[in-house]
Amino acid sequence: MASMIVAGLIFTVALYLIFTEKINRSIVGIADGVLMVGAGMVFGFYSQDEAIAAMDFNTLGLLFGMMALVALLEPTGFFEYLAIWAARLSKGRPVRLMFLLGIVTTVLSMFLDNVTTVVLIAPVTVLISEIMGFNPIPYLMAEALLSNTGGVATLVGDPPNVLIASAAGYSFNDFLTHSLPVVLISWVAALFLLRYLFRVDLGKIPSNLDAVQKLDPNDALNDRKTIQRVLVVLGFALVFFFIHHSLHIQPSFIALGAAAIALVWVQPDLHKTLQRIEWNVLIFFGALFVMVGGLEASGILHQLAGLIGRARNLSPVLFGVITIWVVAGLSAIVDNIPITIALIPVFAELELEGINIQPLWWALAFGAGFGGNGTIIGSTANVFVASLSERTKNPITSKLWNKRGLPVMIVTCFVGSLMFVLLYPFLSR
Amino acid sequence: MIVKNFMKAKVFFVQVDESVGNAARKFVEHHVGTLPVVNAAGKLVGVLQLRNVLSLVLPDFTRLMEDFDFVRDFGAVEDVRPSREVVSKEVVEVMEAPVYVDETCGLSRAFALLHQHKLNELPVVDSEKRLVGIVSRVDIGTGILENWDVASGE
Repeated sequence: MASMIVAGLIFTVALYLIFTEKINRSIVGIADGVLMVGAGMVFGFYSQDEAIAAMDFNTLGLLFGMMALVALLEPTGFFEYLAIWAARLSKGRPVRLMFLLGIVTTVLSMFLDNVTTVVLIAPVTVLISEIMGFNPIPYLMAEALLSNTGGVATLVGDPPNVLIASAAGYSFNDFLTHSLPVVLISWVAALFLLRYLFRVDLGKIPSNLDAVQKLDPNDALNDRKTIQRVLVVLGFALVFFFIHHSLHIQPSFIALGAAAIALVWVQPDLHKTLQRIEWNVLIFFGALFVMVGGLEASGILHQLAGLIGRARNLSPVLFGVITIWVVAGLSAIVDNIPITIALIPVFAELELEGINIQPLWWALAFGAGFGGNGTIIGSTANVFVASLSERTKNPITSKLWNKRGLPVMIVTCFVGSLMFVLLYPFLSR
Repeated sequence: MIVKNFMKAKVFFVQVDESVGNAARKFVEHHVGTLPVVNAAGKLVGVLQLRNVLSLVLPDFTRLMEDFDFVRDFGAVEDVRPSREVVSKEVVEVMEAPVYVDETCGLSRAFALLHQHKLNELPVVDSEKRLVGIVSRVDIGTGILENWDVASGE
């Protein structure tokens, strides 16, 4: 009992500190992870070896591999190229521009880490809006919200999906058949909602339509050779993602393999490439695994699962819908990564109780992904876009996010729930 | 070889509580790039550079992007005018902490300071920190070169 209280307390403190954002979340993770292992040894519920075993190297390897590929692509101007191409194609019409930039960001974030995608597209968005003479806020927010939403579609699109796939043993194709259709419809709903919410801004005609036509996307490319090589490797990785299940290889092996081949082929200045990798995300993950491992070992998650298991008399469909909304609410307030990591062992316990958890994995993915839209701190992409906008003349405030992002969260969760109910027989397989 | 002998004693300056709009007019009127900022007692409290004022209207993307050489035409940015709010800001909100020299400072030290802080002009003060002149990169640089043997045509 004492060990459950101690472990629960350590984890709650960590979530609280992550929520208040007074201390960097990775620092919180390291400190609390160490605390958890220390407490585990004192109270005898968790050992150092168990802590190491708790780290899911499948997740870490996949994230690292994909980050390395993006890190190679980042300085080449490829992302600028895509954004400028989209802007030219829009002919400066605001709604069309939002749609095209949204598509570019979403497609990229389905295959690459969505934070990185936003990090690379957002500055070009500010550029395009400044030379055409309009406010970048609707576009920046649309990019974050649409990439949060779109990332749910694929195994590699969003960190919670990587975690869920690793825990549930889902393949890349499972996500394409189960998650993609739901996300597609939610995404379209989100786009129409954004068009409505920003109707005033999008109704204004830009003051300088010619400027964007004078931009040549080709000028933005400064390392064609690297782009070609990384894209070839990414293409092969994608093919392997489609067939990894039948080859019995883990997605992390494919991602690491792709990173290895790309590194050998491109031979970049490794120091610079490594600097572009988001180590604090990887460390945060590692620390959370250690923390949640302790939580699990203390037995508290078992108790929690027992409590949740009492709701088994509820209809499984309703149970799934409740899961979507509860997870979404938590993800909007804290961060979807710790929520997902903490819920995975709970779900595993529920399975032992005899509950069919297949549909719940999808409910978790939808809730964690769509919930991130709700607040300015809901997802890392939101945090990034907001802090970037603080360096411009038009900062995005938390209040504005609640006015525009929260409706997007509610509508995407609503559409997600609806689809969940309709597709329940399919999702539960 | 002290600054006092090479500086311009006629120096254009702004008061700390003047508006940015006023300062902008002085930059134009006197065609200078640096305006020392003084308080009511005539003591140096800051420096206003052309770039401090211009960065108020510089496009945001230049701060956000590593490379924007490919943007051949800045489009709507070229027509951006500062808002009334920006123009009515007080100089004290925009100025930099002063990098300055005493009038007895040697030329080499003065040049090194310019170089280190990437400046074009240094305000010159007396022992009471009252503004007494301004010395430019060219004033200092040519002052140093004058003392080279090569410059005297030997």
